[in-house]
Amino acid sequence: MFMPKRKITGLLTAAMVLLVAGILIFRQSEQVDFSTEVKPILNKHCISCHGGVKKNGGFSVLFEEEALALTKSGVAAIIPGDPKNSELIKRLHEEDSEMRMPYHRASLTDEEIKTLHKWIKQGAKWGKHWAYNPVLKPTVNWVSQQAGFSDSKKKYQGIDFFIHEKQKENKLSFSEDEDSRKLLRRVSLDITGLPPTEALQNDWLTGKITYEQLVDRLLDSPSFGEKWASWWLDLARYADTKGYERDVSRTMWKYRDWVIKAFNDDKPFDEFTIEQLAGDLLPNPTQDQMIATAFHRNTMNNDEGGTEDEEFRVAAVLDRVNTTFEVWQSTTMACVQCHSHPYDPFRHEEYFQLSAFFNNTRDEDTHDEEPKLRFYEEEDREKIASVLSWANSNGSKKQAEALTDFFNFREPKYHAHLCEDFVNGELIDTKWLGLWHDGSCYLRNVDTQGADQLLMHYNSGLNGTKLTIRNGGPEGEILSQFIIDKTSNVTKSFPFKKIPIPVDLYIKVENPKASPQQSTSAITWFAFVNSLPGKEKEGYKEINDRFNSVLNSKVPTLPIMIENPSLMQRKTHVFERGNWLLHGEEVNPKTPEALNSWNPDWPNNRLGLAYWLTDRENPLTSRTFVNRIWDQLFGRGLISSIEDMGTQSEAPSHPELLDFLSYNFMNELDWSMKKLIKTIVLSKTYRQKSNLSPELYQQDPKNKWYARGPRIRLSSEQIRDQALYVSGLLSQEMYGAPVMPFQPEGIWETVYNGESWKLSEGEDKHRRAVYTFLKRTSPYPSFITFDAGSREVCVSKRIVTNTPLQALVTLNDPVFMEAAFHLGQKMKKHSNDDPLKAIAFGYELCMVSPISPSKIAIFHSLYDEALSEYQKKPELMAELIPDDANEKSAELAAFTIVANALLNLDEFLTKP
Amino acid sequence: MLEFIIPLIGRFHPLIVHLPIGFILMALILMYYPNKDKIPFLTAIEIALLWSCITSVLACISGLLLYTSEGYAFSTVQNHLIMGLSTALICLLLFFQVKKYKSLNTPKIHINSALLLISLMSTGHLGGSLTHGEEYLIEVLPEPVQRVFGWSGYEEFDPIALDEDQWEDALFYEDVIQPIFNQNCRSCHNQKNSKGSLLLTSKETILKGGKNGSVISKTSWEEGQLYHRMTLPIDHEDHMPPKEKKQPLKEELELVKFWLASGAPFEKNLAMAGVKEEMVEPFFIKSEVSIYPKVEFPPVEIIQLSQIREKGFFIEPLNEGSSLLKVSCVNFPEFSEMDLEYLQEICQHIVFLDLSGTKVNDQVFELLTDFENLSILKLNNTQITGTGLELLQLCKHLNQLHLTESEVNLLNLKLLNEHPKLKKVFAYKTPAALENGQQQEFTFEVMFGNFKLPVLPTDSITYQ
Amino acid sequence: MKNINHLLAELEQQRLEKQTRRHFLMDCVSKVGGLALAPLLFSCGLGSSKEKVNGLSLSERDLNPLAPLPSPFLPKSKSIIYLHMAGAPSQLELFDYKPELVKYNNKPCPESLLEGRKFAFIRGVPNLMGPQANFSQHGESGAWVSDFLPHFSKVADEVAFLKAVHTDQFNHGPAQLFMQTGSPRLGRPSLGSWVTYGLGTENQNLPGFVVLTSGGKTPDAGKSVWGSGFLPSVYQGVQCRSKGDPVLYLEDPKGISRDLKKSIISSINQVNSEEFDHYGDPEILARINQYEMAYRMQIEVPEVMNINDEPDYIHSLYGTEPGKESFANNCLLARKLVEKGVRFVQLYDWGWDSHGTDKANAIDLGFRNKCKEIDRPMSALLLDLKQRGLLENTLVIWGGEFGRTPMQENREGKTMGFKGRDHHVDAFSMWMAGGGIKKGASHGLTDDFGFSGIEGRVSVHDIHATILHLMGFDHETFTHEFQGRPFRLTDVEGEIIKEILA
Repeated sequence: MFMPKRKITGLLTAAMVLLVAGILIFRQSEQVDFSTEVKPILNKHCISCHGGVKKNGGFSVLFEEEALALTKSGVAAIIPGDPKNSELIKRLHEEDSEMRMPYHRASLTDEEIKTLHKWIKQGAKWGKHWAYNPVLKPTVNWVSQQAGFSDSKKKYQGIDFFIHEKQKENKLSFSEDEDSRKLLRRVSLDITGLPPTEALQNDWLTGKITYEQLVDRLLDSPSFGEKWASWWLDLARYADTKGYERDVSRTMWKYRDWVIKAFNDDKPFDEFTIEQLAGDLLPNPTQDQMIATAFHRNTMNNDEGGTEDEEFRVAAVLDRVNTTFEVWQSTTMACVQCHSHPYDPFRHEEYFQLSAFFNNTRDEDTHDEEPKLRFYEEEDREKIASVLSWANSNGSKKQAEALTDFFNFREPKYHAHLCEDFVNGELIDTKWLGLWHDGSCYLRNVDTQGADQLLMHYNSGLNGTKLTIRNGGPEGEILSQFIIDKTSNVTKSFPFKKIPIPVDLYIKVENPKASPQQSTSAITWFAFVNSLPGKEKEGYKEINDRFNSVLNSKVPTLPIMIENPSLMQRKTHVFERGNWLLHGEEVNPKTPEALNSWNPDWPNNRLGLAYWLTDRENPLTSRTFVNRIWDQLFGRGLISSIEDMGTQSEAPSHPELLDFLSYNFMNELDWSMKKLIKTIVLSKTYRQKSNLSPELYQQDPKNKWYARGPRIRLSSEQIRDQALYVSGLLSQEMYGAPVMPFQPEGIWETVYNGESWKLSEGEDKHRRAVYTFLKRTSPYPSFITFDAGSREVCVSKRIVTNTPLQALVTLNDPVFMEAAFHLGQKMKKHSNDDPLKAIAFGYELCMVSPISPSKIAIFHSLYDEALSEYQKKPELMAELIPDDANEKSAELAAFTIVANALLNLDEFLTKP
Repeated sequence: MLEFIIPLIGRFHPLIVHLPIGFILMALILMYYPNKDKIPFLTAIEIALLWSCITSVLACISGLLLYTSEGYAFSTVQNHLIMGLSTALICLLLFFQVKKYKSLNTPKIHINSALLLISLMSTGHLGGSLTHGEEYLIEVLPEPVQRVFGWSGYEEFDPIALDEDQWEDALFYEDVIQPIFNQNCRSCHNQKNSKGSLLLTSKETILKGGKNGSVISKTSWEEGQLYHRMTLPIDHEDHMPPKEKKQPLKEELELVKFWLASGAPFEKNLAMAGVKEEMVEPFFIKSEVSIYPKVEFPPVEIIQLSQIREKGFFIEPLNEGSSLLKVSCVNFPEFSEMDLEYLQEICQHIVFLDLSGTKVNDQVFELLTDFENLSILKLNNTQITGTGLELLQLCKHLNQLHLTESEVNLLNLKLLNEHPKLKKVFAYKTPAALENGQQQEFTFEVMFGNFKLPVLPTDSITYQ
Repeated sequence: MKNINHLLAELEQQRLEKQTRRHFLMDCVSKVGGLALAPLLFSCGLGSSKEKVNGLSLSERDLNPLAPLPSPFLPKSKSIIYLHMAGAPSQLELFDYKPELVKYNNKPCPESLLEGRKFAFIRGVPNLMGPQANFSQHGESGAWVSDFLPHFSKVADEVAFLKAVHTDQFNHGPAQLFMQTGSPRLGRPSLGSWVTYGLGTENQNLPGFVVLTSGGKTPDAGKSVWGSGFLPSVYQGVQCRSKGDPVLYLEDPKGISRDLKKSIISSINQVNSEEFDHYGDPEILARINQYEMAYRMQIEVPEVMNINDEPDYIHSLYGTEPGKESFANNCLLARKLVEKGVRFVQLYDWGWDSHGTDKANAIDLGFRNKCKEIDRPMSALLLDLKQRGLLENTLVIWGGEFGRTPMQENREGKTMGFKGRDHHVDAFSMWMAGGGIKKGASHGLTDDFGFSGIEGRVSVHDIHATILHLMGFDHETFTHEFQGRPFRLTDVEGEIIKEILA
């Protein structure tokens, strides 16, 4: 065959055209997504050497501008649109092992290289990780979800809709609904931390109330706050001691009570947040709002001799930054302390800009933990009122206000540890000012604001110490001079010469009677407060006495946050490599670029920060909260790494659901925690059976797709409370100072600390776990065994473990034996000589569900064995039953044994 | 929806390319077939050329698609691409020429066909290296040949390794300095990749130096670039090796320093150069003689292990991935030698066996004879008296035998004499230990222990 | 070709595992039914491999978080005894012999040493203080040991000294945390937790990580020095007490006999296994397993912890007195525990903070008495481990959280009533002995005052790296994912101290 010329030419030219066209057309292909496709590759292979920590070759892929900037070699490693000439791509193809990246490690897969290549070709556009994008209004309708728990029709809505979608992808489906009794126990333990009350059981089981009404009843019970407080106090690192070496007690419990009340009142989460972070900065704050600020006074306080208070004040400030970000943003800030975040878009300096928000509070890691809010008795309150009205009428309103503050939290004041340049003197145990005979020191840059009165807190073992305060130095003019006598801790007022400007005080004492190197007194702080006006007026003396008596009245206190007055403002600096001694550039309060923008109307302080966190634009606050609540109810978060929601965290199992709930939590539910919990527990997802087949286990061991209900071991608090509840021992008493239930001997052995564990009286022995005294260096043993923390640092999630030591607690701990005995008594009462009835009764009391024949058989044989043993050996029986028991019988002993077994059943320790 | 077509066609490129190759060669062969009169071939040649053109164009298209869809860097493919296109064009040209002149011996045609052949070859070669890698052909060449062309890719170089006993005889340069260079410098200073045109691969190249002349100063050794740059502070621009690369050990640096200081000798051995032992001590070959035999078996199946575990044994591999096993009865106090049968199937694997505190008696030795790799055997506080210990002579690898607080006596202990491997026997608190009045001869170390700490006057003083 | 076969093999393996897992679930439960409290359940293991630690498939670790795992590399030691002298003993009176310092006794400390330094209590310019003990060389290694430790000097050849250890924390709490968890701040797992997490423990009837304290106090940093940080709490140290229950709640309540307890537990486990049939949740199997272990612990722990029945020669060797809390008793207990296969035994002896504020903490009085308290026991421990062949694969570590200053303390500028030394971070001594350690070695050198290391300085991270190495880990790859990043005991530092390795 042979083709005519024209044809061929035509054909060939056509082919050529096609070819050129091909080049033009197939150049661009579909877009690469940065955060889902590119960022993971960079994090996996590059960022460890070219990121926040190291910037080898002056190249980093952490931030856009860094990545596109010129590197050491003088050229940019990434040239948008030109992958071929981008060093980044070239280096991936290199053959010389010294040149090829990743350096001395396995090269990237062709897939990965291709992705990067494409991405650069498409202009190397930077993207945001989903977690840093604001929560958008979900497409799925919220309202319809309210009716979502009618599972008759297979059309799922709200939560169940999203769960079901994923289940389909994974070839799974919902389990049937949980049996009503088990569901009752589950939801009751989840919401109140206790088994359901008898009344509730009846109403529910007789169908008098719907499931929704049941949930409402539970949410209304005061136990709700007590249950959920334990969870929040883990985040707030609440404890009843200061921590560190000496770990002495502190009174923080009013904060704990505040949390319980807030939860019970369903205080919207945004208010809840604002009051804890900045209650003191709200316009004329209420006492409760002040109490809330104790959240950040839960930081540890170091009394160890030889420690520098400033070091640990700084440590506390940094802890406040880290905790704030872990609690509200699921972001680990700790690493940004030393360098830019290795993975997430947070800069080194941004960390210190955040710390600037917290760096200006009055607390200075002093031994007395000032500033502390004072809770006066009626009598004192009257005195205060009279003093204030006197000041108001005879002096200025301003003075009255200053006085109010001083009565409430004793600020502003200068702590003794600020003294320096000692001659014949020391800072006793690096805490209190102790000058010896003929000793002196300086207290520098003091602004007395022209006050005519010095207030000094001190104690002294000597009489006739002459204390002189001069302006500037030994030769300076005398500002105040007075004699100190033997006294225990007092706050005394002394006349002081008015000086308008800040000065250095030169403090000198003389007391020949003092033996060499003996401190004449121990001074805690100095304050400068104008004396009461109207000295000439009659009644002045009485008012002044009241003033002084109030200053020295012993009242309950609570450490709180108070912002520095302008005269005490601190500067904040970047710490080089996180070292607090190496100051870098100065920084001002500012929130991270990567997150929501700052509203100029907000004050540039903690209050503003709180507004910023609770702003609807903040991408992390509501997501974090929803994720935590979900984790509490299902034992697993929608993002399983509860403490981290960044580029390195595990991808959410149900991203749409997370956003759906987060958005509605802020909008439809107005930040109401109770409503959120209700929404979740109403879902079919929550109400499924929790049974598990080996197949299902193989498919989904961690219950990631919720094809079964949550079945999790109870928390240490729940386990104790439940045992006391079923045995009828649990005290209904709420709030108040922490209690000390039974604890074995020799648990507390803290150094330099005289305190000891004193068994509480009466029903305080049986208060709910949340009220148990928590000593950081030595927490309540059985709680620790069941995975509770020591509350030294913020803990987002307790890892549930399963150990023989836990068995020993529930088997042998006298607390649980006592419970067993009382449960045994109850059983015996109900037996009327039929052990089977008693056993059935006891079982149902514990598990809410009726006992199965086979189980009753097992316990019956145990009962018989125990019975015969105690009949044979009455002496054992006598030992088992407490002496104060009014009845002692082999039967009772045997029931106690059965009860002991009941309290140890897996089903009892686990929420069904 | 058509996205997949493009890459698909692309991936046919490696196939399609062979068509033009075939046709073109065919055409050329016909054109230069040794035959007086080629006119009869003309049509055939034209057809061949025509199809050469068509197919080569197709090849180009598919090639381009491949390039765009597989994300090759342009730099890597450009030559191949250009040559490919030109081949197509030349081919096209040739075709028209042949059609035009209707003859074959015009110079134009000869030139063109020559060009065609060359471009075809090179395109083919470039394509080949793209798919199979540059070294594809070279790899198979003998090492020396590769070296000649400075081709050899990355070679593995051994670090300094000196024999503890005759380190003095090792050559300073050859056995110490060059290895140091190989480890730390060679990757950037070799024939293939000679940064600063400096090669640190041989005496000659080292003496020759780099583009700034010699790196070893004749006058004062400290001024030599080699030493100077290696000792600059790490952050310094000129520091070698560059900051981000692997840095030499301080010992290595010391040796280089010492070598230069002693006038960079190339022939001297370490002793002559006056190198002290502690300087090279870190580089002695640590003769890591594991007490366990160097044998490997297919790992025991997990089921089998768990079944044995269920009997109460504690079993785990010596370390991850090892097929040798450690077995202990620490959780199996009621173990008696009869239970050893559970271990029979895996006895080869067992190198560590702890039967301490169990009910075993002397029959155990009989049963242990099959445990040929057994290296450590523990029979602490058991009833064994040692009758039949000689059977352990059959456990050729036995290295340690623990008999603490057992009933073993001296006589039986001696049965182990002349054991090939046995190093240590622990016999604290045994009859043997008591009898050991007259020092016994053993071919291994025996620990009778019974240490005491004397009562000292200071013991009773309290200082205050 | 080769790796295809490999893949096939793996697939087959997985299939088999699934099968056995099924078979074994049933198997265990059936056994529980008739419950002979024999060591069955924990042994119903399926072999153990690291990825299974994550619990993805039902492994021995799912049933028993302390189930043993093989170490990545061939270990030199299989257990550790760590003697921590809480309060920090003075290296200058024990191992770091500084004849020069004698000449400068009571002479003011050169400013150069004090520049830019912070001390806990020293203010202004203190005086130097010469060694308060007499030194001499001992054994073939010629190790310098002072006459404060007459017994220990006899066994000096067994150990390897580190003479130039340095830390960066000069307060007890943070320094102890740093020494035990690799970080001066709270929240990191302790060395013992890392090791038990990585290796589990052999003896299933005893805790894997035991803590024994003496000196009347727990360490300054509290129980977090043996805490598990972000690791599951099952890996935290179990404090065994010499008074009261050796382990909390170990003793049966009054009026419950062993037999009855046995029936209680077997009833519980029968019901639980029925529960497992119903729910199929492996956690229930784990719990059944834990109850059996609890029962066995109740028998075995008191046995090990009881030293009354030890022969006299042992008591006279250690200087032990049953019934009282003492370092000597703890040393003997440490040996017994290691003998029984416990992985990590941590001893804390409190009372080493020799500031010289009173007799009890004066270098030449109280401190010397403390030395006497530990001298015999720790020497005895080494000898006893040696004669029982345990030293072959047990690592013994001795040290404090930091050292003491060559200067005499002048608390807050006061002259002190007694001879004392302040906290010092720059140079102090530690020693290690046992499996994988070079006997009689000594690494590191301090300047003439013993103020700073001038040779062989080693950091706390280096020590951790070395310990992990001896246990068969690479400290750089032994990590745990938390807060989205892999955490290491040695953070980003640490070099193995080759000089003291055998």
